[in-house]
Amino acid sequence: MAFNVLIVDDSPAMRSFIARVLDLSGFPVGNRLEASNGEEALLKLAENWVDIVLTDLNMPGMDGEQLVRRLEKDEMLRSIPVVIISTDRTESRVHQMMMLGAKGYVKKPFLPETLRRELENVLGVGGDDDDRSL
Amino acid sequence: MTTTDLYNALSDSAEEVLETMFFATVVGEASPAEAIHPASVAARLVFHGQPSGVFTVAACPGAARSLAAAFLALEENEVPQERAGEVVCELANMICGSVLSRLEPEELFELKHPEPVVIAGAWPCISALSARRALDLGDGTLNICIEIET
Repeated sequence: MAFNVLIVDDSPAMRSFIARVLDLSGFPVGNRLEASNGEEALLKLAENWVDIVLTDLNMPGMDGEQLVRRLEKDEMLRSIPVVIISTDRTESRVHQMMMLGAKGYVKKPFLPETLRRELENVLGVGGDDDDRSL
Repeated sequence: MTTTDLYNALSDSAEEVLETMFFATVVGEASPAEAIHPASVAARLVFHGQPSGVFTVAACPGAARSLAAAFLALEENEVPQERAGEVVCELANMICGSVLSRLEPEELFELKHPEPVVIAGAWPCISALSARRALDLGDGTLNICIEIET
């Protein structure tokens, strides 16, 4: 089974890095969509179903925190798990985002295995390095 | 918080980010007195919280190309200048976030978007409470500096 993923980050370089790390990690990606901020992410979500959203926090326009709040208010979209990928590594921020509704938090810098493990935890799949069939 | 705290956090964060995300190793310390290369790719970001301050990164052309190539999985001669600038902004963002979380793990910080800047000649660290490192990455020097508002 492959998962449709939406990567939200204002930096094209970081979006491309995350996409590559997902490939390297062995995480099964189906459709991969990208958005440069929260507004663009909502537009993508209006037209496409994804299994998980990976979002940065610090973005111009609608930032990651606002995106999580908007998704939480939406009857349909609130079921899509959101994982924060951020340079903000403080425990206060992690706690704040989890309280708002994020389901996972990956702190930059991160290893491919760390990202895969977090996605597997959030999606409730895999979790065993010897069994990536999911 | 002392200059030593800043220096240690800066050193540990830079090495962790460079190794994990850029596959780069610090091979030594360049001379901090050395003037910044006029064609350096530089970025600066402002952060607010307890403490507030400014974080600056400047990579000489060789280091900027090699860091961007590693991050984007491209050959060095395939890296356009604007992508190198984008990658240096990301680098600044990541090292700064890591430094702040080491200094004040319980504090909520607001990191502004990193902006490309032009730095040439003398290093502009002017705050009384600041730390700077000039890292030799083999392909060139990466200068990093954190300044705390006092």
